[in-house]
Amino acid sequence: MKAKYLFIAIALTCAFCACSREEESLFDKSAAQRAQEALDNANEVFSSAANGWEMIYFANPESEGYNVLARFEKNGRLIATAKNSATTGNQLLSDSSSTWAVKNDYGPILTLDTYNKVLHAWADPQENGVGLAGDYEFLILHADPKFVKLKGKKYGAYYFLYPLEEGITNEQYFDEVAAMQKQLFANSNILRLHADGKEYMLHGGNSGIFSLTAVGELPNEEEEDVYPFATCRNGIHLLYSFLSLEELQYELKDGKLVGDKGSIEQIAPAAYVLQYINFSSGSWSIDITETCDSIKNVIATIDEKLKEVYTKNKKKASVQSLRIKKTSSKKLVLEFSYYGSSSKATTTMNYVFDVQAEGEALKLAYVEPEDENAQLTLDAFPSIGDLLKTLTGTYKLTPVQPLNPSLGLRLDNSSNSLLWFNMAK
Amino acid sequence: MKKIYQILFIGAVMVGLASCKGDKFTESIFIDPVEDKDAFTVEFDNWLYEHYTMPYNVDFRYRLDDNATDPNYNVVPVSMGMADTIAHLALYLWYDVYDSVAPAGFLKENGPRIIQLIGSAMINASQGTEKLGQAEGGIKITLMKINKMETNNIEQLNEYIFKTMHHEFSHILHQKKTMPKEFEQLSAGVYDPDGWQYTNEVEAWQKGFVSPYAGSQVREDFVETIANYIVKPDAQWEHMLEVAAGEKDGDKLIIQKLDMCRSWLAEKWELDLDALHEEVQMRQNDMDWDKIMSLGFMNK
Repeated sequence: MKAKYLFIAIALTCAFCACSREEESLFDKSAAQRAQEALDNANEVFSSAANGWEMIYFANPESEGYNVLARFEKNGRLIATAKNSATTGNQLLSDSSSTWAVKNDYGPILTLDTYNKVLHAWADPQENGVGLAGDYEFLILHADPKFVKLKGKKYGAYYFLYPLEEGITNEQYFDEVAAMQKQLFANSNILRLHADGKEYMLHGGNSGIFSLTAVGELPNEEEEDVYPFATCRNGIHLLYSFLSLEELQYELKDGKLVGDKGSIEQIAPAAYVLQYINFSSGSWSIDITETCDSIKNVIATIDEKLKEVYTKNKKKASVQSLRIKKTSSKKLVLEFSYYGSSSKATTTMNYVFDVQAEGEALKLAYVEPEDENAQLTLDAFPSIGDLLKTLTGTYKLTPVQPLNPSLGLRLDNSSNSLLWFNMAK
Repeated sequence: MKKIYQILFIGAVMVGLASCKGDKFTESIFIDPVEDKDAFTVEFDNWLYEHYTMPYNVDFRYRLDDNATDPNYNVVPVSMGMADTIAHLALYLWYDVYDSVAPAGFLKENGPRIIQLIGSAMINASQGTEKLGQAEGGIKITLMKINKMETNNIEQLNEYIFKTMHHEFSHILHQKKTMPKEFEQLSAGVYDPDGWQYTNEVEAWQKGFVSPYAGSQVREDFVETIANYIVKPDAQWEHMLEVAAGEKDGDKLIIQKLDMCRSWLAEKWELDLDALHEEVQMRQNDMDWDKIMSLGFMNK
């Protein structure tokens, strides 16, 4: 009996002991206090950037990225500036007449609660009820003075804000973004991404949405692998990271767009030249004014002969352009254009060249006139033959912008340092 | 024992009274104007408080809270500039009109409690329709497409804003005091709640309705008759009656309906419908923008 009472006493003691310890709260403040603190912090952070924020704005998860400069003033005024083709007609547009606020709604929310011509342009439903499907209320996912991440409440795209350093004006900012866009994507430039042990081609940079294709593989037409991004002053900012890479920002350094774990580069210039001739049906124009003396002299000789023959157009008769391109019959040619005949148009003749990449170098070798007319012109102006022979050779290529050689290449003859010329797309 | 209860009772009453001591009963159901004297909108907010909240007990909302909108539609807020202009215009062409004609305190007692401005319309592209305004429970009137308003186009302002306000306000009035039973008989059986939008204006007039929407249901017919009569210039109203005459004497039906509305407003609300019409027409013909936009022109 005693044992029974003893057992009951021990059991009760254990039971009360178990109850006596209060469960420690995970948080040291109440939910309401924490919510208020989050609001206060967000308010403080938004108005903390002295020169405002660089906002990388993706209207929705399928949208290209846009650049917006946004200043959230302590008094509730929002000043936003943008320049893009979709909403401002490529004009710098600023609006300082609207308001912003931070409120609580399942967490802190940034609301742009009066109309701002810059920031509501994407959310305006326009005629079709949707417009560019942008948001004007955002969940605040992260907010500190160096970085803010938002998520659109309705369409769910992410928005990234970085404080803009002092001294940068709106005009400067957008000029620098435009310069970077040109540097990276002018002439439909295709970039190369190295990720997961593979090499990928990044097309469509001009549209603000990369299409990704593994080199050597056919693009998946049914489900295109696309990556929206915005061009920034120092590189690019993605909406989602590439493949298994986790980074969103790539900065231009030493001719590459460099991230923490991956990089975007360009193929060797010689291969690049051929890529554009073969796949993009593009042509390369040789600069006939900024070139070495040998080429200048040959062109001057051709000009003199043209003036002799075309007496009526003495003043105008001259070589107009030289382009490396692929003809409709898929021959690589040097297109020689000159002005001289009685007609007002320039005349063009094609001379077939063998163009090949030899490692880092590009080999040009004259083969023959493409047709009878080209042969007749060559017979009439033998110095054209001198030009074709002069150009024949192996060249070392130096791009002006390593990530976008289409903007300009210097070709130096490997065996004659005095022979060089420039060409661009 | 009794004493203990007496002490407890007195104590409870004192505690109760003490807890009421801090309450401030104001004339408005809404909070005081902005407390942040440095706020960007402080001047406008104070003006709204002085000219809407205090005299009419109205919360004039120009900031948009997404939760207060229909999530099936995409809308954007109104611009500060348009909010300012419409707030002034609404005083001139709506609130001050009733003040001039109606018994004292009429709007403060019966007017809407909330006016919400929205910059865009609610567009239903698949049906090809857009919603320009709505009233919720006689309390809130939402006015839309405000950013697109041409402020010197009185016809557009009437169509999208002021006629809508008279329309929605008339709903509030007939929800408080029932509309005449005889009105319900005038076009009984002719209303088409699902197909009214396929009727054009002339067809509607000739059926005895002042607008296609009036042909949707009897209560819309009632408020549309009042709202259209108030805002339409005499020449437009007469033209409508002429066209409405047609073969079915639609004009007579419209006149009959208007008479009923006129009598009902006079009897139930001491409101002179013709005086409202005259006052609005006079103001529409005298759109002095300096006067309209000058802060506090009404000096209430």
